[in-house]
Amino acid sequence: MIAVAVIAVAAADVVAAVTELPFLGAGLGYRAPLRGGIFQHRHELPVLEIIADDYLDPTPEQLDELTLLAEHFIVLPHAIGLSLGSAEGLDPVYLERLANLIAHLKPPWWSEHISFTRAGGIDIGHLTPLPFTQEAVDTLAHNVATVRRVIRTPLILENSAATFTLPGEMDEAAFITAVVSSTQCGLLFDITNLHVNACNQGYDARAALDRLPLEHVVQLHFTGGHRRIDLEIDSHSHPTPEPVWTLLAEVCRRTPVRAAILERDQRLPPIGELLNEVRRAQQLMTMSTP
Amino acid sequence: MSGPEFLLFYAALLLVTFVGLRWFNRWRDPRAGEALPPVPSPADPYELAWLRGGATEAIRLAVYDLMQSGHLESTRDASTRGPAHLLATPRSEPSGLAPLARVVLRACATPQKPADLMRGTLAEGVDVACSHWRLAHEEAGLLQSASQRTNGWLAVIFSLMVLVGITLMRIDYAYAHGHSNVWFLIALTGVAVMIAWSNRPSRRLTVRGVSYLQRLRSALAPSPAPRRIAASNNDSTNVSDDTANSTSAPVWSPMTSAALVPIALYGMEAMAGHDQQQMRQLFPQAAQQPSTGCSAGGCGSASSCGAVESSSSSSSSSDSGGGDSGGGSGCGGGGD
Repeated sequence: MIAVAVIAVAAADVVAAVTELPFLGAGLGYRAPLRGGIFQHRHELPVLEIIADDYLDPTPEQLDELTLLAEHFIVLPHAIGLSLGSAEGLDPVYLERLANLIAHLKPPWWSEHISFTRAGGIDIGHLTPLPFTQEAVDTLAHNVATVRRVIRTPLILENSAATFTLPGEMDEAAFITAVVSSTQCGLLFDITNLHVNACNQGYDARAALDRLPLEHVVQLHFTGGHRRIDLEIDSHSHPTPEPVWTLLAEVCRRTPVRAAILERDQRLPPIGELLNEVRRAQQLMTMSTP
Repeated sequence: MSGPEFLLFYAALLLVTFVGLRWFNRWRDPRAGEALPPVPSPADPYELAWLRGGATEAIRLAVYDLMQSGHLESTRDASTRGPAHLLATPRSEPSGLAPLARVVLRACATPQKPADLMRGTLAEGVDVACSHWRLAHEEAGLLQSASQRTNGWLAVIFSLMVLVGITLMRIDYAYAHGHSNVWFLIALTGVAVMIAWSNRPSRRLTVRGVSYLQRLRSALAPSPAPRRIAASNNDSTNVSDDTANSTSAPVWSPMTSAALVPIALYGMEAMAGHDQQQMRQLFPQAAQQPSTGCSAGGCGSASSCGAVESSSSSSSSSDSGGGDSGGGSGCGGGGD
């Protein structure tokens, strides 16, 4: 079993300056069916991202898998179910398991979403957008402070895709800026989510970049979704579309990004196709690195 | 010493021998507990096959590779059942082949019996050409060196001599004193011989080497599930139905090294039905062996790797000097 390593630390020690985080390059979201191809092309994949929730209560086989991955790659845990936006607070069991996983992997940072997945003790089973209000910002900041008392590794927060918006006091860009400012977390900027939200909510994604706290961006996510009737779905099921590449290039041009991860969950193509996207992202990152 | 007392003594001796051999095996494999080397990237399937089973497995992989890409065909003798010979198809030697595959292809310019490939000058040449792998893997503590194997055998032979010798002396003593009830002792000796024999240095790989092979399998080909291998440049892995539908192997296209990796790591077990059947007919002896590739018997010529010189070995070595098979470290090293 992973040794329990729950360490309380002062929040001030945890807030690592974004600029001090290492440059990792472009990588891939690890999915078990891709393992053979990923190891075959290890020299092209300096970093992988795993879904932390898949390994919170690992079987011996999963522990072996984690060890194998950690010995060959930098592995970034990406949590889904911590539910940082829940007003009722965090699930201590989940948090402890997450802390154990992160202690096992020793990543330079880890990530969660600016959303909630649990309300009234019920697991919704889906990343749900928060209302863009100061109250939600405060709730999130409170939960992040709780997390920091348990997990020393820097946390970065991801903007979510939203197929609907809740009534709020500000727009998404202002909300993300307030969250980043309030929590002092780095930003995992999901370019595809921005693109999807812009399409579905009818705003200009490129213009939104001007109002987002890009100087806090540590990592990017990119992938392709699909369109259903009038709605863009962030399904992680298709190659990254050109508008997302354009946005990704623009973000890389504006700020030094430490890592970019291709997220692909459905309709997994041959590894060669994924690598082509990773190489393209790497090229954009490298070209933009000062 | 009475009969029961002797049997007790003999059982204790058997236990001591078993523990002693185990201890000795660990002693002559001191790196067993060390951290394993990283998984190579990109992995050269021919090196993986060679690690698993020596020249025999490397040649078998080359035959499979060449048959899949249409450079080699099996010819059936009308008077016998099943494919009898391997023959290069009439086309120019392509540059896209792995160095070792090219060597095998040249050897099949005239019809060759599959079994002859494994024991003729070709195998010897491959052994010599792959000697740099042997050295590297011995240095990494993955392969047993000749001295390790010799020491292992000496320990087993010594144990057998002691156990059987004492039995014979006791039987002689028993008959000299008019006793003929020695069958339990003989049975016990049989058990002792089996225990000693089970500790023979039968493995080509060290304990560390076996662990490393397991790690390679876990990383590069987590499942040996048989599948049709793609001949495209997509490095297709076992991912989606879309992919599976696109994996029929077109004739004349060299297989990608990545697609050969599962075959290299598991052998025929990882081949799709028709391919497996064809290879089993070509290499019936290998078909009966386990895919672990670790036993001395199964590793065949591996034990002589690097120790054989032949008139043809030099040409084989030089022929296999390229490096276009996956990791650029094809048999003989260098670049193609």
